[in-house]
Amino acid sequence: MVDSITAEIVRGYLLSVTEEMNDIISMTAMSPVFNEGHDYSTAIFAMQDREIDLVALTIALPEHIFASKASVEEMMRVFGADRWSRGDVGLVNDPYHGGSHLPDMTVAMPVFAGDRPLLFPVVRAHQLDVGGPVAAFKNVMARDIWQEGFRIYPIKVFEAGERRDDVWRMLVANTRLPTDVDNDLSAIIGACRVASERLEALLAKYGATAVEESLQLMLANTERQFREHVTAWPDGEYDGVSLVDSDWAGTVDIDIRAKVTVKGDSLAVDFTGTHEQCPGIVNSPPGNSMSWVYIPFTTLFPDIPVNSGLFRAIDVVLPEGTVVNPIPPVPTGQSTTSCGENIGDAVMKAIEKIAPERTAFCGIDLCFLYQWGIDRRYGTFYLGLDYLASAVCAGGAYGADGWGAYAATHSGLRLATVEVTELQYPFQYLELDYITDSGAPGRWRGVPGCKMVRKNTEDAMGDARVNILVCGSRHPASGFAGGSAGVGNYFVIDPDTPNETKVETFAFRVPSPPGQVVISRKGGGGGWGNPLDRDPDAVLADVLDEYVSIEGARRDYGVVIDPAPLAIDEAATTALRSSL
Amino acid sequence: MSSPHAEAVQQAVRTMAKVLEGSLSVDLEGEVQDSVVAVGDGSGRIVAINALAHLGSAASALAGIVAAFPAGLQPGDAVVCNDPYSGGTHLLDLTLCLAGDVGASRVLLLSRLHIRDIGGEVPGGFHDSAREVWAEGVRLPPLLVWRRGTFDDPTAGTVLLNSRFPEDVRNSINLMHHACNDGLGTLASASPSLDLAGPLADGTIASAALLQRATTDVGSGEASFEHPGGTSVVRVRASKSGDSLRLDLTESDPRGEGPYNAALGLTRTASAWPVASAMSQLDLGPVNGALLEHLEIVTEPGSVVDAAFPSAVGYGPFGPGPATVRAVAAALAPMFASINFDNADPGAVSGVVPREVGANSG
Repeated sequence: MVDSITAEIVRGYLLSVTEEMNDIISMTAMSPVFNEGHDYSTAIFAMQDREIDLVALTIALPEHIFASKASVEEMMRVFGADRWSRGDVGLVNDPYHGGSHLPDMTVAMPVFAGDRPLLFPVVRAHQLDVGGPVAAFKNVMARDIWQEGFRIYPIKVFEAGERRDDVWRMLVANTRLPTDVDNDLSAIIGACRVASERLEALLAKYGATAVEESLQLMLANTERQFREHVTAWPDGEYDGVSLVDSDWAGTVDIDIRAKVTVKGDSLAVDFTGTHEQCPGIVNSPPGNSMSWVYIPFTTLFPDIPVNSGLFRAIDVVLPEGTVVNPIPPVPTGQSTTSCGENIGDAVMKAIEKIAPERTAFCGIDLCFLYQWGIDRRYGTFYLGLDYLASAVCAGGAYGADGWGAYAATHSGLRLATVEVTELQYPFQYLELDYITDSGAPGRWRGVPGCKMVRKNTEDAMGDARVNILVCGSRHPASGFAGGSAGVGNYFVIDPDTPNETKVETFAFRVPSPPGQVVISRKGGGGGWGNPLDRDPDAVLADVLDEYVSIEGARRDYGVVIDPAPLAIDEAATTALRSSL
Repeated sequence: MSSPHAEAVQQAVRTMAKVLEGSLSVDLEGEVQDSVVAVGDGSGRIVAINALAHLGSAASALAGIVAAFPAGLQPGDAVVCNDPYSGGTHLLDLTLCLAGDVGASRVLLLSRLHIRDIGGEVPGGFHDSAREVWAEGVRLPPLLVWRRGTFDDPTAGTVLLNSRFPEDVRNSINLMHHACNDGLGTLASASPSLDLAGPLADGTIASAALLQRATTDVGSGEASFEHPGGTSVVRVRASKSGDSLRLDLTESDPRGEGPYNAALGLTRTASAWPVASAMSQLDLGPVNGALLEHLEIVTEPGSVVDAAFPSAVGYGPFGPGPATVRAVAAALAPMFASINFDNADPGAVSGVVPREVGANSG
């Protein structure tokens, strides 16, 4: 059996390969969604005894990579272990064949140990457009999967190192951004190729047996460590509920119900009682749902390396016909966030009853602002997804306020720079700032909400249109352990004009001429713990930073601040807090 | 036909057509009107076809397929395609092309069926408010689904996955493949040393014979069609020069916003149809791809007869297609005083009539 030091070297090597893949895509992909937004994830999977295991992943978007397990399994089902060759590259996007929503394309490349595929560098990446009736694919009117875009069955885009040009043409024919997809897929496959060279070097240096034993050891270690933590929890059943605002098709307050059962070192999550599948686009196929079940557990114990060993320790029940395991062909376009993050949230709410100090908001609370048209500067079609409209979501956690970005689970997603975005799209950003008193109160507060004001320049031509999809308006980011929930999200189109429209659900194909202004009011993360337990000095610091007003300090935290010297009135604070 | 090879090719086409007609389910009965079978040579020239109304579109599809595989298709390879911007007409016309060898000749056998659905916003594919081709369904540029005789299940899987009626599409693909295979078998048994140059030469002679009947060298015609956005006009200027006939459609109206636009493949077929029909009635000789080499069809990109990518084109066969047939017939009538071009049924280029298809009923 391999020694633990070698196994750890192998583990570190695999991690470094995923990071190199990540860097390659960042540096070579063409689309802002990749080279700016980093809306992709890289990992390495292994196949042993016909089981597909995640063995290494970079810091990216966990719902991408955990869900990729289902995609790679589906490729294996279709191709069979014996139908892979060196230089093959497989690809799939279909939600009902291991995918989540159609723009997330999963690419895998086999690396051989002898004559059998052992390791698979994998990339899952969000393409901005996959054809269909609506640019950027988020079609709130969709009532079946075909109304969302192009479905890709597990397919080989390279065979033995040769690109299948016919398949490639089909991929780029079914997007409004053929040049981007052409280049981005090349970047992704390039990253897989470099990874395969690195992995072949690993196998050559240590031998397949040592590498395989290392994989088994790292998977077993993760499973063992996780089960040890579970064993320390009291046996019992713990319920958690999270509500999805709506499916944008008439169904509201869609309940996701998770029952976490702890028994000894065993842990099960059962979604029986969850809302039935919906007509609209919130349905989450199994791979996506499983991914979001795993996400909260991976955050609980940061010392445990994340791999399939953790997954093995969790039994999951996803009742068929519910929104967490829908029957085809209902649409799934929004599943990665709604109801995906609500699955994670419901699990986290159940865990809150076991180990509250380990819980926090694990979702992403994204809203979506898309615009497309012709940019007069370049004379070409553009399609922009504005991450700046949905900039923050980090909730407070035990010992830490919500920081100025996404939650820890989604810290791989980056915000595009304003200046570069203005070069790429016919927008001008007029304002991007925190909103005072919007951070959810708590002993550790959530990140404040964010206001963005964007204006179309005169270059926004070609019958430009805007789509907005609002999540987390009725049910904002959760608070934990007595912390408050975040503030609801909304948008305003054409503010201070006769056409002013507040958008709390969606706006669909709204004309977006030059000069049009769009405001996003993005709520922040939830708080953790009782706000009255917050250190008054931290409240004062927030007042000085204008995150919290003097009135808010009094109202939400029971902290009285003297406005003249901007100092805490200790006596008044003590008196106020004791009265609340 | 003078050549024994020509008779073999015609026999193959009859065999292929019979397979389609004999095997289509009752549910697909209407689709048989919109089916085509043809035999082409290795360079993609149509040697024989069962429905002259589709000569131009079959040739366009075959040209698109040949261009997509510059190294050439191998015997047993079969390709499917529907992309209006790669030689097709509209997305619901699914073409299959099988490559084979008979004697020393590389043969491309083509079959096309109308399928009921290929994804998109509206079940059934006829989306009268589509503004882009992607709203009408999935584009399939030429895609290999059989490779040297072996069915490529994963690749075909993507085609099937994008229809609300995957079993129908699977059956259509299998049926077209069956027809082409039978056609290949007929060719092999009827003419083991097949040579396709002869039938094509006969077609050239027949085409020249038609053009010699012109009494004047120029003519013009126009025809309009109604659509939800108003009325559009197709205009044709015809001129004869030597053994070539030029059909200039560049004065036709700009494309409409909706799906009443013609892809180039459809315009080619609609332009050639009156000519082919006249040749056939006059019994001048075989009508095949050689005719197209005597026709110069000129269009303005972005017009209603040459929709600019990514325009919606789903209703092209029901608007600009028939209008083009009428306009060309009108333009040619004064040039060939003794020939009746009106015998070419404008509706023949459209095949089936749009109909409602229930979502998810398959």
